[in-house]
Amino acid sequence: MNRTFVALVVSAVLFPLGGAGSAYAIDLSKVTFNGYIDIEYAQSSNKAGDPNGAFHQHHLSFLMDAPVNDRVSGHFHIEFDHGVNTAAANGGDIIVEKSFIQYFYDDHFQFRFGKVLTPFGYYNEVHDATPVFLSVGIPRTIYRQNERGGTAMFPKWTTGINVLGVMESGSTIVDYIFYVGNGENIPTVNEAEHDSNRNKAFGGRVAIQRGELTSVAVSFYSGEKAESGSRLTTSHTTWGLMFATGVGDLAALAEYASSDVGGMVDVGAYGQLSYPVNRQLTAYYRYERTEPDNGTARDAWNEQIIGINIMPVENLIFKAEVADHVRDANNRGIGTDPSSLAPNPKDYMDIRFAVTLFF
Amino acid sequence: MKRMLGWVIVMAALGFARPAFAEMVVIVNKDNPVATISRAEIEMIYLGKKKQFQDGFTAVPVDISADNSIRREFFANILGKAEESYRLYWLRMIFSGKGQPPLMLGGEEEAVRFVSQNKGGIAFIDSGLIAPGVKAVSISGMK
Repeated sequence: MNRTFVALVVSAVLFPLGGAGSAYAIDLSKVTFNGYIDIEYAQSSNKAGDPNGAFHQHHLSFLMDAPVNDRVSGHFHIEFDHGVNTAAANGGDIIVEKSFIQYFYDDHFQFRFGKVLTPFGYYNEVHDATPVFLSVGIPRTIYRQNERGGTAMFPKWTTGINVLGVMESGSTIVDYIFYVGNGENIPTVNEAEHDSNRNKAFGGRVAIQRGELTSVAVSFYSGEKAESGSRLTTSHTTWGLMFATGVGDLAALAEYASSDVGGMVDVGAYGQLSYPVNRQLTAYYRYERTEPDNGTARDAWNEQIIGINIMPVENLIFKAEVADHVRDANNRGIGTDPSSLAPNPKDYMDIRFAVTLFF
Repeated sequence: MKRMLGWVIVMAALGFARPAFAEMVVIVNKDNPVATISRAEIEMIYLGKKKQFQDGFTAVPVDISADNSIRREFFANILGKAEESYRLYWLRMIFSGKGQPPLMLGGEEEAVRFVSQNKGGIAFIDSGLIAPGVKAVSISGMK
């Protein structure tokens, strides 16, 4: 029965795409298929993290671009997260990272309809795309503020409508995207599919690139955050600033973001330097600082990361890094040791390794 | 013996001098009305930021897999990027759902054939390989 069902599903998918005589078939030669898989190992120096260490099959992702014609295309990205086993507790996730239809009017105006990774800052649109960034993970500050004792600065995904485009003037390129989408809900509700708020969230990003090396971007997000039910909402506004430049082979990237949830202000910032030692090996250093609540003194979380990114052959990347965490006593992310109920150590170190294969 | 060696050197210089004298040109389909294109426009087309020519033709940029002096010149003088940073740029575009890199063909002859058969085609080749069906465009705004 199951085999029959699977065969029917596969047939239903394949025949419209490639079946001879189908009026609606897409030219398969124009459909592109990409993906990546990564395996990580992380271990902490004490109970503030994971002192035992563990391997993680973090991402298994498949992406497809399907152009219907010169103006309309579909873009899909499905991720199997943390070695999915839906029968187990904390058994990972299967996530539609993005799924949207894009309409190209001209270079200045394009429209997207569907679910996207919220266009905020430098990293959110490549949130899990490990082949793209040098370090094992993207900065926790700004992008995972809730894992640094703060609250999420913006929803990771948004479902709605985007308008985007590119303008040029001489050697200056302006890249913009604005969106209206579902706002944030209580934590158990899929933000991409529901909105507990009457008003939809909106935001955008404007990036200016001058010359080949220097770019500046401003991002903003505004919405209502449902705190504990559909009637309790708080205004949530976040803005961010990104600056990237290079001197010779040395690249610098820095971001700052400030988030206001009903008067509580979260701030995050990082600066990163990277240098390609040769064609295969790039060394990097990043300093991250999170100040989760302007109403709480001494609650900062600082992290310094030093690492190397090696690509010995095309489509394969090794990463190794050491991270040093220094936290103030009042940071809400410190937590307690369940066995003794004593506070966890404030400071700790992580070692992380990753191997990523992509195509 | 010395005279023969001299001739050998001269003949070798004439026969294998293509990389030294090769001139990189950007070609489009002969039916494309574009006669002049700016360096910045070509860069934007190859970076996926510009998808149309001024006349509305959908631009289909072509890259070549051969690592030759023509390709190196195109990257250095038109794109202004090292190949490594160009590759990383496109990885970021692919995995953020923003598009696919230019079509990769095996060589310049193949690129000429493709552009001659596609109205929106654009490629970079050695000027000596221009053939019927394509035309070279002049490039403004060169550094």
